[in-house]
Amino acid sequence: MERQALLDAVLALCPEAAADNAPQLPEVKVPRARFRALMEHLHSDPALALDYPMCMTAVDWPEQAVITCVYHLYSFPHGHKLVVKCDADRSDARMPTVSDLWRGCEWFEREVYDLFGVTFEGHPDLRRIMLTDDWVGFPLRKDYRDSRIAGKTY
Amino acid sequence: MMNLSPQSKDALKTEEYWINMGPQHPSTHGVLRLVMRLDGETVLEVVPHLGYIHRSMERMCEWDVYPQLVHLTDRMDYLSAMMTNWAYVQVVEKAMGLVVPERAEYIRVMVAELNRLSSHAMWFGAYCMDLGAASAFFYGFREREIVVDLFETLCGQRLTYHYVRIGGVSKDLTEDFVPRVLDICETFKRAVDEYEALVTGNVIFQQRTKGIGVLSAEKAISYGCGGPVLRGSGVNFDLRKNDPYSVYGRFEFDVPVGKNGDCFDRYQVRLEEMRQSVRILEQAVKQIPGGPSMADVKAIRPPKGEYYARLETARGDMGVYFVSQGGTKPYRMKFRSACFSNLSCLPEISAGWKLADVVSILGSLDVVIPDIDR
Amino acid sequence: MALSPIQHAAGVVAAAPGGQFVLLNVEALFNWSRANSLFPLTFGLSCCAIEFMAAGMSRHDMARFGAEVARATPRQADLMIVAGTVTEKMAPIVRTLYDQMPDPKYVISMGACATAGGPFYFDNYSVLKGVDQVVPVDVYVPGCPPRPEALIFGIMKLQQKIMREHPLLGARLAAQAAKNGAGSAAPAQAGA
Repeated sequence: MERQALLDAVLALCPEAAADNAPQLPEVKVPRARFRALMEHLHSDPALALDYPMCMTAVDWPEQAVITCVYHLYSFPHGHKLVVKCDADRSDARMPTVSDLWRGCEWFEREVYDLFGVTFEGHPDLRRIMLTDDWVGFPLRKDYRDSRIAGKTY
Repeated sequence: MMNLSPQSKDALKTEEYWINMGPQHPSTHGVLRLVMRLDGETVLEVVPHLGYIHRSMERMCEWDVYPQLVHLTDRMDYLSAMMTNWAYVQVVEKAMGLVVPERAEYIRVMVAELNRLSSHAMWFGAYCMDLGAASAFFYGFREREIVVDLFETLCGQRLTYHYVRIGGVSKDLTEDFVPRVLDICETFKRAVDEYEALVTGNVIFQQRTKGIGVLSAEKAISYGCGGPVLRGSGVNFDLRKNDPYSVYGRFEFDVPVGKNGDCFDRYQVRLEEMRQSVRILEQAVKQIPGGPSMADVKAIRPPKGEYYARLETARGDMGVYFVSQGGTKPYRMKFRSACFSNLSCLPEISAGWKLADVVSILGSLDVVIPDIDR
Repeated sequence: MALSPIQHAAGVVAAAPGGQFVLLNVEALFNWSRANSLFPLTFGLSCCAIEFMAAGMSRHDMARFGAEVARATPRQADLMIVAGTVTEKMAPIVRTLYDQMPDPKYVISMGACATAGGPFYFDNYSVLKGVDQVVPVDVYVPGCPPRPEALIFGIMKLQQKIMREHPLLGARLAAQAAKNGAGSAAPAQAGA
């Protein structure tokens, strides 16, 4: 599907989303209330058929007090890509899970929980994946402080 | 005489138990800890525990300038270090709109395919050793040493090359590079035939790999698997052909695809990929043009925005995503590693098999644990 | 300090005329056999593990030095080659493995990461800056990764170190040095 047609189709499914025909990949930004419904459509709609989780991660924006979860999706039948973004409040970061739609997201979401502290509601096994279970803090947040870190990096 | 059928009152009482495999274990290919629930010898549940080699690379990326980050990618999937270097520099170049000289593109393709050969040769050795055929390890390393010698002449390093850099490659080819590549092509053609003759038809090998650890195509796609794991499950998808980058479009090569998604198919896909890599090398050696091997790059400051690119490493689909604020250091750098997604299907495909089969399945997924933990 | 029965017996022999000469030769025999049959523990953590494996393969061939038989269990190994980065999560396990090894045991810290944190020294919250924070190290082999020849050189240095040990006379020589009262370093190993 062509980029603009893809964005139009997504906006038709979710009018509250903000599309961004970014130079590299088409992006949509979705409010959290409509996120889960849109992702279900993206997965199941045969015209879109975004069945492959290319990448899922998060970016911390302390100035805007949000943590943006970024999902890169690819479609095997059609060959198009889409980036879906959704903001979570930094103070109480919660997002609905999509690990039942894309099984690969199960571990991606655990990694985001571990390093950013975003809780994914409905996740079957949300626990830390990279760090020890008793680790305090979320290291990829911009305000993470740790005496172990050497060098002038604050 | 005791009646041991489950309904009889003399029947054996059995219990399930949890055992721990790793993180120090000869067949976990690194520091992976598998906690398994067993019923006798049958594995009911596998819970992988990661993070024993988590080296906080993504945080390090936020505090170094872009050219300094190439060495980190070497140490992620170190068996295909040229390709992980390339995955990273590719996305920075796309972000900056940097045009890489054609000669550098051909050199990148050649070293990537050579790296694929050495990685698969080592995988072959390690996999057969996991299954008990320890001599195969020596065969795999014998071929790997030849490729690694060539890399050492080229860039000085045997494992963590730091050769593919932003804008091109760090050094041009040496004069003896092309004849040595052609020698390597001949060696590997013979070597893959030798591996096939020694291992593929072996009854024990087939019983330990055929039908074991079946991964269906839908599951492979849903888990985000790539590379031989995806192709072994019957999905004809290779980023070099389906989402082409660099000059791969100029070469003729086939993409081996399996049928059943079992360990044997993944093994065969990798052996066939070695043959196809040889084909690509032979064509690249004929087509490579002259010219500079590094673009004229000044400061590396990708414009503000978010960028993603992916590349076919020896293990699968490696992607790099970064957010730039226009400065010399990235705001956020994420490495989407191939092995992370490939390993995530392990709990599902190994449930119900025996303990020894879990070793076979894990070996066939070809994971490098530092790539998973980053 | 209480002496083990072997050390006590060694003390008795040493007190006899010509006893120290005999014991030094017995010690040389012990050291020679230990040094030339080191059993490494298969303990590859990351990239250095590949060069460790390459050192055991046919080109570099650690078997020439007696160190090829890599045991997977620490109970049967006497050399732990820490090949790769040690993270905070892995550190207790490294220590547990070291404690599980029987005496006499040796540790080679292979690569820059195990020596001092390596390329992961700065800006890092999870890497231990050197494995010598959890286990005592005998030989440090620098490199990232060290060439297989460098690792073999490290093993040869360890063999030289082992040849200088005093497993039988160690306690006695240490006691003599303390009695002579100097600040000079006493000979090291008192293992028996």
